[in-house]
Amino acid sequence: MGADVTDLAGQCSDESGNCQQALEELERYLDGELPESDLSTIRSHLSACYPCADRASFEEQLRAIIRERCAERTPPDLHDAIRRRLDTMASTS
Amino acid sequence: MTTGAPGNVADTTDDVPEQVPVEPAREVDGTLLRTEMTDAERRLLFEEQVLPEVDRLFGAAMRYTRDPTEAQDVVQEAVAKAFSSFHQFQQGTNLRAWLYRILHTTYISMYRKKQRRPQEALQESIDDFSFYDEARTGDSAEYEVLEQITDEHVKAALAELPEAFRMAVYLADVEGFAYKEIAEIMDTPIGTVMSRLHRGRKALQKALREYAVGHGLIDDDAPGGQ
Repeated sequence: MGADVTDLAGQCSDESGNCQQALEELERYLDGELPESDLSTIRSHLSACYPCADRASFEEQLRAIIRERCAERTPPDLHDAIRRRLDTMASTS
Repeated sequence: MTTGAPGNVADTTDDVPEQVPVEPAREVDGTLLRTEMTDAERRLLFEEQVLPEVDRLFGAAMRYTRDPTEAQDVVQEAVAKAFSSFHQFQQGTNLRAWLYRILHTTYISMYRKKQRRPQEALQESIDDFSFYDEARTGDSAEYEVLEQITDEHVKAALAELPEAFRMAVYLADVEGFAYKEIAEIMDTPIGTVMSRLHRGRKALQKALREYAVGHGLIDDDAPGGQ
């Protein structure tokens, strides 16, 4: 993580000063990849620290936007083309 | 529901017709062959389980190839390969990860060879970029900035990412795969997946930020934008 993490520690409204740790773990937390044993620490930090919680919420929202905006319309004949391909495979096997 | 003689390893679904077990699964090339199923039953099960995934596979193939015709070709080829090796798929294990692994290797064998170029990297400074910090400096609230980003721009921003980063970000953020699954699909160590995800997301955010600046959603003189 870059310098922004260190700079942000100064804005923390949670006097425990756990911003740096929380921001280092934020990506894995949002990915659902933090070990169970680390969850309560970051959760309690996010509930106490507005700047970190706001950043987490923004990142979450951004991921949702990326997911929604990536939808594709499947060409109408793709399913039929696949079935025909499977038919051909079955008849030649 | 499980049918068949003791020793059969494969489950069948409720919709598969009753069948007479022939013999227990036998091992061929290190895998258990589903000898209890007829070809027709295997085809039916394949269609039930795999065809519902075709639309999503096409979405992934679009991000891989960035071309609708090539994406259709990759999906067709990948589904055909999946059908050929469906007897090796262990029912009850991770079907989606198995399919995406096949899609991934199919794409690489069909397209990457002909346009092979050195693995592209992202600039070192990308690690310091934060879209959040930049979006907060604009006139609009940062969430309004996000809402105004369009489909076309997200797709274009993803398309600009070097291939390995683009795939990692797509598999995680759009398909929702876990690090371990992405590592299996892309055949890379988990540490590499995490690094590609982290840097790929930063680069994607930077491209989206440039779009937001271009549309006057945030100020061009925001910190770290250069």
